[in-house]
Amino acid sequence: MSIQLSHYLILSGILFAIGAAGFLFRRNALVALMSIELMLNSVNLTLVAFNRWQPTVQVPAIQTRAGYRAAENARAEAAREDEAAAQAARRRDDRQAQEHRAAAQTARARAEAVRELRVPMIPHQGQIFAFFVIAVAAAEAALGLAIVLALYRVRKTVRTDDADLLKG
Amino acid sequence: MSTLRAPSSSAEIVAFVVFAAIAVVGALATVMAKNPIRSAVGLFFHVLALAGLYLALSAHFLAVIQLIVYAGAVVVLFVFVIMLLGPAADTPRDRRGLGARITGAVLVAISAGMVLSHLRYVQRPLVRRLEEYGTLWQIGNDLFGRAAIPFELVSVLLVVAMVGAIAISRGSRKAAEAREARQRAGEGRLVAPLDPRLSTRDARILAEDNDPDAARPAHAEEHHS
Repeated sequence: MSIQLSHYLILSGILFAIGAAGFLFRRNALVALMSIELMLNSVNLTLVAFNRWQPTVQVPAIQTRAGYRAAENARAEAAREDEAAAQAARRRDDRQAQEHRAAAQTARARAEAVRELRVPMIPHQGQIFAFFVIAVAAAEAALGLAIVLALYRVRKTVRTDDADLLKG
Repeated sequence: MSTLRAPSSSAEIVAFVVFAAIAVVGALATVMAKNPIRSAVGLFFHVLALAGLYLALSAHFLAVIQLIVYAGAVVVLFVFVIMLLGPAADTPRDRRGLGARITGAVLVAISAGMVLSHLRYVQRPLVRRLEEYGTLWQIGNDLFGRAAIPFELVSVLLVVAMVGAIAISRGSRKAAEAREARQRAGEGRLVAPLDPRLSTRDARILAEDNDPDAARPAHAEEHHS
């Protein structure tokens, strides 16, 4: 037996149900806000778990760290060889210059090959989406707590039932 | 040949069970604790456990962000507000009526059942963890590549939220000045005549607000004489 995607989904379903129940059952505005945080967190867990179980896609190798490094190294080597070829040409050493020019050419071809290459990679959409959810949750917490403070200033309580200023 | 071995399946199971248990207990403590400060502590442990689960899912970046944003900022903000409110943060007779509770429980049970009944459709093969999955480099590449515009919009959202939070929590200056002027004038009367439709609680709040004995500014006396 090993941990499957459904285990994570069941866990986040339980956490979401706890958060939803807290939001429905409690009258304390602070606890209601914390329950909203619980629900958002459980959604994040779902997103990250789905992301882990996502199939791979073929992405350009340049978008992976190893591929980027390889391309950078090849480009740097080509620049070095070009420099060496220019120096050899200044020394009027035609044979050396020719060799360096050929080496630069191969290095450039290698960089180009990395650019063409595609490698398998799990995309990170789920994690990035969870990142945005965290940002929204932080904004929501700040605004919600500000509203709780404003409610307390008017009503001297944080019971959600007492927030009835708009009631006709 | 890498010297790092992949975590064994049993270690994975232990990590999942431990973190899941802490997360559920923390969530229950958040929802059920009478004292809001205990709720905040429950939320704190819940957040820590979720960061552990993110690590188990090899979302390293998100685990760190979760710790910084939730444990470091959101929970602390909650604690600040609870301490600012003092005893008022506690609301006695917090539970709702039986009808609302039963309705809520039934709704939660129905939605949970609907989700659980569909879970068997989401069996998926697990891809072997790729070397670069979830690393900071890859996340940064995706975040500043395809998600660059939403990422910039998040900063706009945070600025708007910050300005809004300051504007809301600072309160209206006009209302504060009016209250101060009323206190200075020493009026014991209410601004509006007491409406018979007002509940006793509202009447009490208004009366407290206009109590002539309550905290009149010290300079009000010399101003008067």
